[in-house]
Amino acid sequence: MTKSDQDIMVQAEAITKNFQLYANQTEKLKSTFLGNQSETNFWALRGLSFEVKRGEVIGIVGTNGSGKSTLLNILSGVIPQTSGKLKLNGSIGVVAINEGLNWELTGRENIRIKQLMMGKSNKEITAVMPSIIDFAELGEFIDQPVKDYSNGMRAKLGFSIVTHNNPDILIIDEALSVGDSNFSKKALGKIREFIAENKTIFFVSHDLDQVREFTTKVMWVQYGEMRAFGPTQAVADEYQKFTQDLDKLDEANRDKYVEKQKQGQQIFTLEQLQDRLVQQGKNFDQARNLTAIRSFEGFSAISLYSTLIIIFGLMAIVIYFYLTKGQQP
Amino acid sequence: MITIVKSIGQLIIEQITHLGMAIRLAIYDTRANNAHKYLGNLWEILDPLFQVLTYAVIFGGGFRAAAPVENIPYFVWMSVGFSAWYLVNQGFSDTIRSIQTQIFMVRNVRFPVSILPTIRVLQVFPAVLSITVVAAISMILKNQFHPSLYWLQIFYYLPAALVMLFFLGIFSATINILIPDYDLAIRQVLRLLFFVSGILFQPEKGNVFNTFIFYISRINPFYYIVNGWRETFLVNSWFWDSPLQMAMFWLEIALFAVIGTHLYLKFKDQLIDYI
Repeated sequence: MTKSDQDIMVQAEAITKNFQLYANQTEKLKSTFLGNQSETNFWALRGLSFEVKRGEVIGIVGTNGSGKSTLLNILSGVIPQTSGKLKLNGSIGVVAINEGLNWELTGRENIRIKQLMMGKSNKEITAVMPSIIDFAELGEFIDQPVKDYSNGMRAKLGFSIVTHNNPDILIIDEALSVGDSNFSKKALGKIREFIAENKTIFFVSHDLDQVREFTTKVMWVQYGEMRAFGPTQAVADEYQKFTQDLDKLDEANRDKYVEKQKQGQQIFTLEQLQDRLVQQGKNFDQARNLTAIRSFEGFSAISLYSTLIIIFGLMAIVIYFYLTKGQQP
Repeated sequence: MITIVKSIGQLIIEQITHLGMAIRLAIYDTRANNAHKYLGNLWEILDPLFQVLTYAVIFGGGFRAAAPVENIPYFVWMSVGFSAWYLVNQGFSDTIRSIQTQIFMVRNVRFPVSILPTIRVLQVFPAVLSITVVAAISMILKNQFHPSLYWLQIFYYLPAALVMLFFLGIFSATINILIPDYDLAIRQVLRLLFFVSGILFQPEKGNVFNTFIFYISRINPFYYIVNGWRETFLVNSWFWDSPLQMAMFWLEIALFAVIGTHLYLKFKDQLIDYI
């Protein structure tokens, strides 16, 4: 392995995500057990490929509904991709609004339960607890249920918990936009610390100035496709120009444009992606491998059914013995 | 076949290696659930005790039910069975929603989802212990407290109950996400099962209906555990004296283990898509 290979923290190849839209529950159930039966597909991601190295700070931009959140969810393992390969090299922490907090429990309890789930012992948790509470700046509210918190307070708590876990890859999903400027400053300071420690960070924000300030590279995702991925300056300018152009359009034209793009997301197929990959210089087998739908296999059908038949057979034998011998209870 | 046995084994090993974490989470979750109540953790004990009291009043007092075993007072017979019933019934019904309600907490964390049902089972233990204490006190008061070698059978029946709860749990928790109606449907079944699992009266052959219930109880794994508890502490007979029921019980466990593990492995990475 060369040095540059080791430094690759995230490697994604032809990631797609399909949301199947069902007319009713019955249709959904059928698809669960028989494979995709849905007539309406929505491709939130249409074949994203990228590599991120250690120490890079990636800004992800795109208009609403462009697939940013879906991409982050796949990166953090919340949802599985439909096809494509994703390789992560290190632990992941996600800061998002309400991320993984239990609303019925108090802030302090949430901190503890989150840490327990990371496999820490009670002693270790008690040791880091003051520092987490201190950073979250919740004051008296730390012992109130999270449902009584404001959005900003939840973001603070989530940010404090996640950053204290010291992840190798940090994902920040618009969480900083809800806090007040005081907390933003503190959080950004923490992020600078992470950057100084050469950690990899994904940063989603609608605030283009923040993106320009922090990131080294920008990934522009639009309607499920990667429009550009490169140095911050160039891509941010390009994106800014795009949004300004979109703003200039009158409402009817803009709706028409968006509608057309969304339609593209419905008629997209994996075969199209396969052709595109071949055009990009992959050989046919590689392309087919990359576009194979990620399967979730339990046991193979033969071994499953044969085992079940054996078990039922043995049950029948037991019942037979019971009935013929008339064994006393 | 070998892969199936191996995967089931791995799932069990996962439970054992994460037992410490599961216990800490169980204790913490129970404490957190009760933190905002004035009586706090006391409710974990009060709730089952009032249940056993209710059944004692209605069936022992009102219907004047008698224990099917001679010389054993009804309350003693009932409470011993009830402690086992509470473990399997409450443990089972709590596991059904275990993954569904907590999957949002555990995402982004490298956390074995399969221990979520186990945590729910562990949380039932205080209640089961409190009923057991009540049963023991009633046994002492009625002069039925005779420790013997038979009592060691608890080291067979308790693990059997736990293995059953785990595989039923992993099966149910997974299927409940795929089919949301499962939870409600099972609750109806459990309500009925309570009366045919020999908690309040022993199923016996009689008219067609009673005979039907009797045969159901022979293949009912819950009855096997409840009955086992009584054989251990009261009736004193060995578990290997009923080999056919034992075989049936373990075959049923094997069935749930195979289907449950299959579903869990198949869907564990995409469960969140279904919620």
